[in-house]
Amino acid sequence: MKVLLTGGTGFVGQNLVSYLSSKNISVDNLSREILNNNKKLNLFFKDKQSKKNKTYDVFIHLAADLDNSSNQLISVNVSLTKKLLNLCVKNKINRFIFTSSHLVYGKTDYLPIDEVHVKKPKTKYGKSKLLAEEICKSCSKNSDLQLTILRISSIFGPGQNEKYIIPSMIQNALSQTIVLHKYSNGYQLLDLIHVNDVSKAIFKACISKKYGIYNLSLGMGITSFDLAKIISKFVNKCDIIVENKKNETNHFLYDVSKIKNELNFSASLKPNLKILKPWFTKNLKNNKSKNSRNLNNKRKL
Amino acid sequence: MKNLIIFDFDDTLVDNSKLDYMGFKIPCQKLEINFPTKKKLVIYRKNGMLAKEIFQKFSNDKKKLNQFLKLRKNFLKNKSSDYLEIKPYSSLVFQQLINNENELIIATANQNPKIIYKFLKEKNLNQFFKKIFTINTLNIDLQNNNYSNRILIKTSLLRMIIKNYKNSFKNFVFVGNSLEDYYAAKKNKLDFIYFQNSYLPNPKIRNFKRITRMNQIINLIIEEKK
Repeated sequence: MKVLLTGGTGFVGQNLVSYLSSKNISVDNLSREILNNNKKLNLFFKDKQSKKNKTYDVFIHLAADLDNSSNQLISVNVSLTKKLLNLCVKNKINRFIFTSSHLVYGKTDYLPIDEVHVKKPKTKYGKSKLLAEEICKSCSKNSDLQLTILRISSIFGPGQNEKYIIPSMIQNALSQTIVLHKYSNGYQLLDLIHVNDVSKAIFKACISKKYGIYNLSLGMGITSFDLAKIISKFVNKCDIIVENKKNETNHFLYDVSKIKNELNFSASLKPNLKILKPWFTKNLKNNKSKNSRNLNNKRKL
Repeated sequence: MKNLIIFDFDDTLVDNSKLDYMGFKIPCQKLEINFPTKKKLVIYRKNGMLAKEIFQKFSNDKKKLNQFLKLRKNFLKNKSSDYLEIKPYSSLVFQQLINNENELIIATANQNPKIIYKFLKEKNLNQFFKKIFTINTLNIDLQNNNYSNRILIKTSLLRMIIKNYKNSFKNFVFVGNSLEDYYAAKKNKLDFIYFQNSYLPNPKIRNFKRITRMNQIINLIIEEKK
């Protein structure tokens, strides 16, 4: 099987490339440089040596702009998706996997959230993903393209940017105070998924005969307060402060029965002590070396 | 095909005003806090206040609040069947509904189904109900019991019931006693019957069917169908 993907250098992409390679799947990444240049993008499919068209079995579209304040959000998340869909149809790539987000649902009407739940995204990012989903569905309806949309919940895993909930809690725990995520009141229900599980699910979507729209998460609720309690166990003393306490919360928990039944996939890596400990230890080491570097720099000055 | 009638439990199937009052009185006596009359409690409840908020009207002591909540929880767990009262004509109404191609279930935001099973058994009412859906059936612990959470829980419970029974029943009717119940029914596009009582705030929404006594359900469900 040959796979072509976008976003291969991102947090999920790097993990996915190494996972697919371990399964003996050949993976090519469309770099940002090629994606931004129409001429290069069209030429990419022509093999220079054999002068034949390159063929791929699956296209995985991971690349996205996550920044709600970015001016390029629509052009990256929507227009680029449309361009890539057309390219897939033109080059006869039969399967398109689009990674969407839980943010397409917006306010929770009921729990657990299934794939038919009302979609009223609140953020620009959520809206752009929903629009891209609609374009994907329309393209798939008018062609032979087999479309899989994975609505991924909040991802966690080593190497994640510090602005996300678990890395920020780990950083806070190292300074002995965990301040809970500003969008929650401590009791907000979260449904997370480990980056390794995301890669496994995408692999299943590549090889499965079935395709469609799927929620992707652990399907297990955990409050940010409980998460903070787990992380606080790694240090001797750690206070948990609930900041920005709001009465209104948007609880989030996925119904994952569809992906389980159709793609035969269940996420298994829970955000527990065993999974988080090595990550924490790595951060601790990085922190120590960063601190000693800072100290040395100060001494030099 | 039959109809499925979903009953809320607290204050819909049963009158729990006495239990609620004793659930304040006894823990407060143990903590040596003066607790007001039943009349005043009704006023607080009519204003939609939670037990925690009502207690804070009489004591600002955080330690005592936690003790009170624990004592109240234990009291409600162990003594509920002593103070819960079934609404008049219930057995007759349930039997008549069942005789007229309806099946009955309970959907409650209550956490402990055992209390409800125990109570129904003692009152010889368990024969009428096909199943009881509680927050435990959902397997979700939302921890804080605020207004929007209560709507979310009820909506989720009704959603689960519809999913489970959509192939076996023609119509679904939800009988509840609060605005949360109304919104939950509306979100699931269910027929709603509002059981008005003197204990909880009366919603200012006019477009739903209201009853004040259990036997009025017969008119709304059986007679209307004829």
